[in-house]
Amino acid sequence: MSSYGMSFAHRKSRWMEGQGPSQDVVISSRIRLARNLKDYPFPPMMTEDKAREVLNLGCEISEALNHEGSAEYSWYPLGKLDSMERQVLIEKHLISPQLLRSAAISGVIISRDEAVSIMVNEEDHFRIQCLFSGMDLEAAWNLADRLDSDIAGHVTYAFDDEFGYLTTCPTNLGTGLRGSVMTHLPGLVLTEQLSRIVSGLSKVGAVVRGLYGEGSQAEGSLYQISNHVTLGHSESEIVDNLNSIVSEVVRRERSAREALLNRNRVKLEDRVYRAYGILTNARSIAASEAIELLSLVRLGVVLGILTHIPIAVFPELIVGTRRASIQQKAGAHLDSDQRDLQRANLIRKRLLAE
Amino acid sequence: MRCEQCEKREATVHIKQMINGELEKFHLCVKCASEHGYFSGSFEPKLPIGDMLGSFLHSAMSDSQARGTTGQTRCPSCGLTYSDFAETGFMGCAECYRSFGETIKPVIKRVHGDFVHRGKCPDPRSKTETEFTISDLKRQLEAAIEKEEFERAAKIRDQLRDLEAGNNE
Repeated sequence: MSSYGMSFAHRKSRWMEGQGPSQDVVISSRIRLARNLKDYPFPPMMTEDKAREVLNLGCEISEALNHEGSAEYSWYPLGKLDSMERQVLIEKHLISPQLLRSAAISGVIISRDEAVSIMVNEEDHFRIQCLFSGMDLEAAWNLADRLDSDIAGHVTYAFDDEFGYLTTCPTNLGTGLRGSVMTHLPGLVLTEQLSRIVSGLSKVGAVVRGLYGEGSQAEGSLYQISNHVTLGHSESEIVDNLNSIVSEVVRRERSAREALLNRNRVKLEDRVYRAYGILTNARSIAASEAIELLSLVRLGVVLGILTHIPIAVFPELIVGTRRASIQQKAGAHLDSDQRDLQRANLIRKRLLAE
Repeated sequence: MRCEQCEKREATVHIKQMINGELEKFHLCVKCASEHGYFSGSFEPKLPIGDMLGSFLHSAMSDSQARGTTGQTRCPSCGLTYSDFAETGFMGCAECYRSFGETIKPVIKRVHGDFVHRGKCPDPRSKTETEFTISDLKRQLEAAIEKEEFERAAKIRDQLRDLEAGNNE
């Protein structure tokens, strides 16, 4: 449990709401801006003293973002969070694992609805992240843009007229903007079109990865699509380009699902109901099996095969049954076997409650 | 299949990535894959910086040795050497981009297809729109001359002349 009260495992992030455009295919949209301070060495070259100064700046910025005394943003130095709670933040995609490498001198600002997380002293001094539900890169960019301008009123960024925002790694140079859209593509996986599409996407400047990084066959048919290039285009061009790439993927996923239904509706229904049957009856289930079955049930829900389950159940269960979240919810340390029992219980009860 | 990195464990992670328009495939074991950030669990796509960017950076240095950058060239502000940078892919401070900027421009161009920022600026008042257009045209002019597209270059030069005349009024 964090020293700040209720564990993050008990709360839902904005991106987990199951709302927003194209939610039949798109889980979430995220914009990240990488920013550094002009007068400080970048994090890999910082002394501990300098890192602490930047950390204090993070705390000050968090207060400054709370206009007129609101409590919209909270500051969490990672050193004050226990290791389980840090892991929950990773599982909810609010911080990156890299931030933990220097936990004693890093921190994060998180908004009340968890749509915003600003990491301090990660690879760059600041990583501003805005994470929304569904296909909503514009909303995420508009918010990130506003926060970025707010922060620029308090600090002096490292910026060059030619290279743009100066980032620790030159792959983020220029806008420092990386957009990532988490998509659910079971139709393209089942119709074996995915690898062709992945290689096609890379030709138009997009990087495709699984939820946890695998190449072709991602866990639960979850894939994130991101822009590769950050320099030489304006932010809106990058966002527009990623938008049109993802829209095309959404279109193809929908027609793949259509084709699956037309080809053999009963066979698809059978797979969905079998997955539902296991999830609502199993007494012990491993994370990898759970995510594959949840993926099939989600497909069944968006195709109208299963009509009583709201779509917001899926992000909740996918995050909520991960290693740390499951233990924080249980309020106890659990070994792998105990986690499998707990996971099966959580999923079964949640699905049967609908 | 053995892991390409450790050459010991079984490769169970198969990664395809587009690098510079070329499809690269990596076959790694879980341990090496997570060490390279492929199992980060984060939304951040990790690019295999250490390997790819690193090799570009090393070759950029050998190209530029004639022009004075060596592995021992040091950023006067933070003390990072070019070899440190080529090893990690990480710049040490804002000043590093001045110290090594010219050397890595070709690498930046290979990664991004361009090396000129066209996005947001921290202080929008610092550069007017005309100034933006002028610096953009100047770069286009250089590029046209480099490609020996002299007709286009002449057109850009005229545009520039008009703009600069307008700017001084």
